[in-house]
Amino acid sequence: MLLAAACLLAGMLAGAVPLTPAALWRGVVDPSAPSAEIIRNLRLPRVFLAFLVGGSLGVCGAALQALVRNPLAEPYLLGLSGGAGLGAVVAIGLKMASSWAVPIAAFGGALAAVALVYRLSQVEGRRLDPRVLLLAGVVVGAFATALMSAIIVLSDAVQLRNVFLWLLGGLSRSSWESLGIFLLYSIIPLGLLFLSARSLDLLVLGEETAHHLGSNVERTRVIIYLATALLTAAGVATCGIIGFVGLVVPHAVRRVWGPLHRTMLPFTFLVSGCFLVLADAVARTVVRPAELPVGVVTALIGVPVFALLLRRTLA
Amino acid sequence: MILQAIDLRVRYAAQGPLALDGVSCGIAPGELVAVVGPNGSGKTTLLRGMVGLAPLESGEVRLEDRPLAAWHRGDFARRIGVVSQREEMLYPLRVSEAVMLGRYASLGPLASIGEADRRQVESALRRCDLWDFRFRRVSELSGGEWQRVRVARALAQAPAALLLDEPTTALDIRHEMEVFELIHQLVGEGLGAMVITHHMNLAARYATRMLVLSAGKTVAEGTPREVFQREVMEPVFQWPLGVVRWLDAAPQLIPLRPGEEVRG
Repeated sequence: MLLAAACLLAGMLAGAVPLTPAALWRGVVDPSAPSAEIIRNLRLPRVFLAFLVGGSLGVCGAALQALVRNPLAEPYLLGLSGGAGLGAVVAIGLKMASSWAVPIAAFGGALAAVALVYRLSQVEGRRLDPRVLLLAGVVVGAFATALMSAIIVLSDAVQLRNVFLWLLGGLSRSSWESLGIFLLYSIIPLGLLFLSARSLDLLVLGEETAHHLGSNVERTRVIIYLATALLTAAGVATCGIIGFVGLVVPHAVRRVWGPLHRTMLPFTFLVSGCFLVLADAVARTVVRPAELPVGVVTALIGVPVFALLLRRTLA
Repeated sequence: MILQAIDLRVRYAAQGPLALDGVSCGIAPGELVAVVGPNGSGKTTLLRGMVGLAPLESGEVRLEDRPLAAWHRGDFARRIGVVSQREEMLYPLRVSEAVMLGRYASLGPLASIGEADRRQVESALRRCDLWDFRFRRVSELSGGEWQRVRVARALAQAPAALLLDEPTTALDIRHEMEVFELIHQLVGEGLGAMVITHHMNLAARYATRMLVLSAGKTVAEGTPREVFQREVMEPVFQWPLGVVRWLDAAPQLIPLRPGEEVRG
């Protein structure tokens, strides 16, 4: 909790206009202070959104890792993020959806992607090979990205750059509205995943053992697919495609607090939230006054971790 | 009768052969049913069918005289514990945590682990001689210890019957005997048990009833003495066999070398 508070504070202070703790305090308590505008309308929603989206992505990663029994599973690598992005781009490109409805289109895209990934990785008569599943996820993600690029290029040029930046994962457009949108769509799936903690413990043992120990495997599976797809969709719709949070954090949390999901999921949420807040702080400060998309930062950290984990799981 | 399978027929692929062709099997309290037969004879399929994991083409499974479909998964798991053939743990838990998983069927999603659950786990750990191992990670255990953890986890479910699929493969003599002795004790206390095994001779000494499967069909059923007949077993295993009596009068099956005969 202290760690989380410290991260949120750091996230508040860092940025194109660096603030001192004193300036931050004045901005919070006094609406007429010079820093008040930045703090109240930019930093606060941004930091909260980063925390919630990061936490959700981490929990998604942990749940998917239990579901497919592979520590490399994660919304981005399984193609969910790509599918969600495509859904969102289609909705925006066709000007069909208000920003409050974009997550629904993204949800549709994520579900389609996950169904496709599953179909591709089911080799006839054989059980799911986790490696094939991952490969299928990456391929579907790449395909979705290609389609997104095509749509962006073909749609009108004014929005082009914006959408491109958003796709790379950016919290720069955070507002109280986007925070509200994210909250609206994330509370129920987050709650469902936390309630599934024990089912996840059993699912990690394999479908058959989970069945023997009293778990309704089919129902748990459906819940996890729907909940992770909706969470990913809400994240993508509000701040673009951010990968690898769900890969790095659950791995570290499992090492410290053990693999039982009742403790592991809440800690994953907290730590992932902090992770994204800090990643965003880095993204805002390293190339000041410009900004890196936060997805770039998480990928720079995540890919080496992925490589390490890959070596270990294949060994 | 705790669990009863009536005339099960299972076909895995739509046009494929029957993996199980009209097999019935019941488990009563205080009864140890040993299921034997060659590889691919349908033993594991029978077990899977009895717990709702194999697609039944026809036939019925009843638990406490209610059809399987009428049972909630969790309630079923509180009556029937299963130790399947193989299992590997992706993220190694501690032994006591792993055995606690057996209590999950009795815990709601929000309920915390209570005193009764802990007592159940402790007694399961002690029965399986694992109490001193309870803080170890399962990844540090030997094959025999891991197998005992899985039996303990099934016991923690506090079941009325236990189904075990080749629980002693890959165990040495001592650990194999310990598993059979444990099952024997539990059955003596009123538990029902079904054990799938290739160890025919041990099965004959512990089982109250045996079921011999071949190519998905029941070829013999009854007490070990009734089942261990040369005329019955030779065609099933396609090898010359002799039947002798061990000290406790249990029949034992001896595979014969070419030219060998059993006298008397």
